[in-house]
Amino acid sequence: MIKLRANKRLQTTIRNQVLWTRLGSRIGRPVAWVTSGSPVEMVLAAGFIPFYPENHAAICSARGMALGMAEQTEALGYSRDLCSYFRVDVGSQISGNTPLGRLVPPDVVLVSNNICGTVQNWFRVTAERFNVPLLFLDTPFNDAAPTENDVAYVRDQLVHIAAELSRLGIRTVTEKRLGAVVERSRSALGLWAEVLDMAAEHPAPFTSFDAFVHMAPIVSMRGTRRCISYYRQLRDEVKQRASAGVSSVPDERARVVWDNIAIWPAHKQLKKLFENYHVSLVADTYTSAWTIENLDPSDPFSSLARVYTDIILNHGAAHRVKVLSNMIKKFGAGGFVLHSNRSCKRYSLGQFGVKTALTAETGAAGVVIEADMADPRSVSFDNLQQRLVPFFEVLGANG
Amino acid sequence: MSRFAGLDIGSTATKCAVIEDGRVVMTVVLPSMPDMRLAAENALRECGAEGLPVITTGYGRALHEPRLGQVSEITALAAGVGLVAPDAATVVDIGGQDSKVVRVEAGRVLDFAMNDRCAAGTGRFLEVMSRVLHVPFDQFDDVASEDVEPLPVTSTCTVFAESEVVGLLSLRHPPARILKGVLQSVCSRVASLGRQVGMVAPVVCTGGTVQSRAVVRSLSLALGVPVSVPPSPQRVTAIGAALLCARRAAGGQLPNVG
Ligand code: SF4
Repeated sequence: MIKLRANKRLQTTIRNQVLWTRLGSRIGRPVAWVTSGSPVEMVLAAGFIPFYPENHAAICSARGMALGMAEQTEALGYSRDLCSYFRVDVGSQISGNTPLGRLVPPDVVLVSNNICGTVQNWFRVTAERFNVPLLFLDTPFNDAAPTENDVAYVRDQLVHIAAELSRLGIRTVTEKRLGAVVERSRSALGLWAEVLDMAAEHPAPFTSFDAFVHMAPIVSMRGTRRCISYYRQLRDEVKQRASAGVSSVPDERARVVWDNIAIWPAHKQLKKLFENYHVSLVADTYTSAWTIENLDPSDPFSSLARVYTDIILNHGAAHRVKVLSNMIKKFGAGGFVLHSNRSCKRYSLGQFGVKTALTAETGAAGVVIEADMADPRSVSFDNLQQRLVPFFEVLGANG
Repeated sequence: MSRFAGLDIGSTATKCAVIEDGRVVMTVVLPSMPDMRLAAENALRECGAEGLPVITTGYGRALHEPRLGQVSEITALAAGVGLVAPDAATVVDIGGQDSKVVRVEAGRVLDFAMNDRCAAGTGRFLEVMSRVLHVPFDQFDDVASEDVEPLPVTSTCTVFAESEVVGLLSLRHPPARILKGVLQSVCSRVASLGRQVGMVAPVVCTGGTVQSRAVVRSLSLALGVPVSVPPSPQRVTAIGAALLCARRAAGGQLPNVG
C-alpha cells in the first residue's frame, strides 16, 4: 500500500494552524469557537480566528486521550450517554489537557442547531464557563431542501449575527468581505469534492479512511487561502494516483459506502481489516457533508442561509436513504456500512429503517455496526470484526 | 484427494466434519475447554481428518494451523444449511456466546443479524440459569413439558436475571414455571434479532441449544412461525466449512478467505 504524500503535509498544516491560532490570539486577533456546522465564513469576515471543539475532540480521540477527558466531565455529573465529543471537550476545558499544547479561550462562541441539539447546550455551557457572548443560529429541520421561508428566516438571523460579530470583532462584516470569504470556501469545497469523487475510479485511489483524516482542513480551515492550496495539492496527488491506477487497498475486490462519523478508537484497526479483506470504503455521508456546491459569493447571506440549513443532519431518514442510494450508484458500491454511533443520536436514529429501504432500493447488502466515534469504552474491535467479516464475505460471494 | 474437513472452534464446543463427494462422512463434537487448541487437534484426529485440507470457522478459528483458510460462522452456517436443509430461507442459530439470524438462499448469506455485547439470548444465558435452577440441560425437556404457565423473567442482563431467578426460587415458585420463563426470555431476544432481517419461512434452527425440544418449542412460539431442526444441528457450521473447503480446493469462488 502506497501512502499518500499528503499525510505528512496534513500534519504540518494542522500544526501551523494551531500555531497561527495561538500567535494570532497573542497579537490581538479575537478567537471564535464554532461548531462544525456553523457558518464559519461569518467569523472569518469579522477577523476572528475560528477554533473547532468538535475537531479538537476528534484529535484527542485519535491520539488516545479521550477517555480521561470524558471521565472528568462525567465526574461533574454529566451522563455517559451524552455525545462523547462534548464530554471530551468539556474534560479538556476543565483540565487544560490538549494534544495541541494549549487551548486558546474564546472571545465569542457561534453555534447552530443544524447538526444536533447537543451542541446548543454544549456551547451554552462553554460560553458560561468563559463568560463570553453566545451567538445562536436556528435552522429549521426539514425532510427535503429548505423552503424559501426557511431561507429568509435564517438569513435574517445571519444579518443580525453579522452585526454582532462586527461589533465584537476587528472588522465589519460587509457583503463584499463576506463574499470574498465565501468565494474561498467555495473553491476549497469544490476541490474537496473533486478529491472524494475520484474514489469512483476502479480501483479507488483514495478511500474514506483517507478522507476521515484529510477532512480536517475543510472542516476547520475553509474560507482561508491555505485551505485551498492544501486541497489543490491533495487533488493533484490523488489525480496522479487515479491515472496511474494506484489502488488504496491491495487488489480491490469489493466496494462499500459508510454512514456516520468515523470510529476513532478503532480507526487504524478498521482500516487494516478493510485492507485485509480487499474492501475499499469508497464514500461516506460524513466527509461528503463538506462538498456543498451552491455557495454563491455574489449573494453571501442568502446563500449561506440556504447551504447551512440544507445539511444532512438537518434532514430526516428519507433524505439519508436518497443520499446513500445516490452514493452507492455513483461510486459503484455493492454494500453499505451503517455505523450506529452511540454518541450521535441525530446521526444514528432510524438506521435499521434506512438499511431495509436502501437494500430494497439498490439491492446492495448492508450491515449495522454499533460503536462510538470517540469513547473507547463503547468500542469493541472484536464485535465490529464479528459483524464486518461475514458482511465482507457476503459481498465476495455476491461479487 | 476427495475428502475435506471443516473445523468449527466454538466458545463451548469444537465441531469437526469431513465430507466426501458432497456427502458428510464423519462428524465429531468435543468440549472446547480447557484448551481450545488441543480440542481442535483432537477433533480433527477423532474425525480422521489429520492431513486433510481444512477450513476453520468459529470463535477460535484463527487458532488452528495449518488451514486452507478461515471463514466467519455466518458464511459457514449458510453453506452447511444449503446442504442439510436446502429449502430453508431463514436460519436461527443459538450458539454458546452468540445468537444469529441469517437469511439464506442456496447456501449463501443474504442478510444477517447477531446479538452484540450481551449474553442474553445465547446459550450462555441458558447455562447460567440451568446451574441456578439445578436443572441440567438434558433434563430441560422433561421439566419444561409440565403443563404450567411460564413465569416471566424480566431482567435482560444475565447477571440480574440470575438474581431474579434466585429470588423466584426463594419464593418457592416451581422450577418448571421459571425454566419456561427463562426459555421465553432467551427466545424473545432471538425473535427481536429475527425482526431485523425478517423471518421468511421455511425457518430452520441450529446450534447446540436447539437439541432441546423445549428450546425449539419456545423459539417457534416467540418467532410466531414453525421451525424445524436439521439432523445434528450443532454440526451444521462445521459441515458448511468442509463444503467451502472442497469448493475452494476445486478453485471455485469463495468469499474472501483470510
Ligand atoms: S451529537 Fe452528533 S452532531 Fe452533535 S456534536 Fe455530537 S457528534 Fe456532533
